[in-house]
Amino acid sequence: MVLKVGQKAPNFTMKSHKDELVRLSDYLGKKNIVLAFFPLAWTPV
Amino acid sequence: MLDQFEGMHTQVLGISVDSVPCLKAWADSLGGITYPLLSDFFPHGKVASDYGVLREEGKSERAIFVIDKQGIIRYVDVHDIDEQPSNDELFCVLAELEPEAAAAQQIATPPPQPEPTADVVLYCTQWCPSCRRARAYLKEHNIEYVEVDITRDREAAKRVRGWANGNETTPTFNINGKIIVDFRLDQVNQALGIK
Repeated sequence: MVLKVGQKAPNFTMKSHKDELVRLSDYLGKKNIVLAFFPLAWTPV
Repeated sequence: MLDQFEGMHTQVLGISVDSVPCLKAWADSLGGITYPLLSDFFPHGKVASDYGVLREEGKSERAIFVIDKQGIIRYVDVHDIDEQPSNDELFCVLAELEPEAAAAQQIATPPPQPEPTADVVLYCTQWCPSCRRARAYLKEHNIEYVEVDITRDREAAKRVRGWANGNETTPTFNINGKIIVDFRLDQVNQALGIK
């Protein structure tokens, strides 16, 4: 089920397209996050 | 546009199940993407799955989560996979989290609206499929109603959270004072006097 408003956002660690390791926890206390899931690169809307 | 996110102390992160080389190639084809595109490739779709947005076909929904500085989810938009979510609405939510920054940036958000006094009030978002069904249903039965967009009207979102156990469940109906959370047909029919 899709997570809901008020729930804790699960932490993640992923490589970015700039080859950097990015963790959600890096941003805690510092920035709000807009986490934008998209289905696949090159899929037109 | 990205400057505006920065001004709201917000980092944009894109994420898909594509591999890093694929994301790189795509970003290059678009002339470069400054915000990080994260690869949810291995384990395949694990993060999408954690957030509840992994589709059967192995790719994710087109969805946006706004997460505050305490790591709490403050907004969720699971969009029609064939449509692009709107940024305007996102800024309404961010303005709620960062009112001073919004004022400094002169981000125009809709002014707070009083709670409607109509017989039938429908609390919705633009993107929620059940909301579309609710609108169609009311129209089919010639029921007049006032619609409130809870993405834009964050006071209204707060009311819905109060009714729906902290969730921003849509559609939520207020029919002559009776609150019905979610499109429960039997309850809606009863409240509207439809057999």
